[in-house]
Amino acid sequence: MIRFLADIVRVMNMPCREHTVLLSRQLDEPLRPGQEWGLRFHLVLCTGCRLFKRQLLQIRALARSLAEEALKGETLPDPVRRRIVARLKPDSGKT
Amino acid sequence: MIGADEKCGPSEDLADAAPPDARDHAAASAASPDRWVEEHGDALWRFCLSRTRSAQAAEEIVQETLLAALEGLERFEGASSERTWLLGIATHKVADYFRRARKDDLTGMGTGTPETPESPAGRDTFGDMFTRKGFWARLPDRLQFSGESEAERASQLAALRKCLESLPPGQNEVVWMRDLLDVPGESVCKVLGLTPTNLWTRLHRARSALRLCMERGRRKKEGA
Repeated sequence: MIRFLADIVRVMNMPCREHTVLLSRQLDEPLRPGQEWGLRFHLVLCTGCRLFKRQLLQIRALARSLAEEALKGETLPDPVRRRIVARLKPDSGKT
Repeated sequence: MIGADEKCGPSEDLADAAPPDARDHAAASAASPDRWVEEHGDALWRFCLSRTRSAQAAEEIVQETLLAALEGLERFEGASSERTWLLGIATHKVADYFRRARKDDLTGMGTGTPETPESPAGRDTFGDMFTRKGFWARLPDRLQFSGESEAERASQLAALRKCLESLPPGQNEVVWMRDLLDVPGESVCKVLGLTPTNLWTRLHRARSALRLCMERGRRKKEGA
């Protein structure tokens, strides 16, 4: 409980630069509950961080479609496939 | 010749791009590069080709990826699907390829670096974003990067592609792995040999740089 409250207070007293660090980290792993709430309170008050978060999420959504695009296209040509399989055989080249 | 199995349309492509490989873990212990080529060869090939735009480089990178996967087999722990894991490694190999290309450019001198003349996103990540005390110096724009029309979306995707390319390879690869391919953070750390803190720092820099780059691009377009 003390940690929870301490986290809230600490996050709310951070400068916005640190909030953007947490907003980015949130995309990769859950924050501690206190950090989460501190951030939430801060976002209510801070237009800059709110806009930052929105852009972050929009860009990531855009990025996902870019990835789909990169995985479309022609199939692995047969000659290339054969060369690769041959070179991967344990007895060819280095051990 | 190449179009031997031309029949697979785009929808099928997408479907086979992300199969739920539940049996991965058990299968991975039966290290079979043949099976990898069989099941993931097309995806790896497309990925490497679209990133490098060179068939020769793509072939090399696909092979390097499979070799690295073979050597680092014990590092695959089923945190992601096997394909995602392989694509993560391929991302790293593609970044290596660009690192080498960049170095060649530098030693070649004066031949110009068409890819990143000014590196709009790479450098000056936080530049004028914050005051010295860390508060917003200028608020982020109220942009919408969620294309209302098809054309707008296409131009946003093109802008994002350009901004991604302008990131230094180390930042580019983490964004590709995490935000584009959704490789689990743990796997990214293992492939790149980073601690989670390293990874978060790098991601934060890269994402902030991307955001700024997109914002500047938009502003330039509107100003013009």
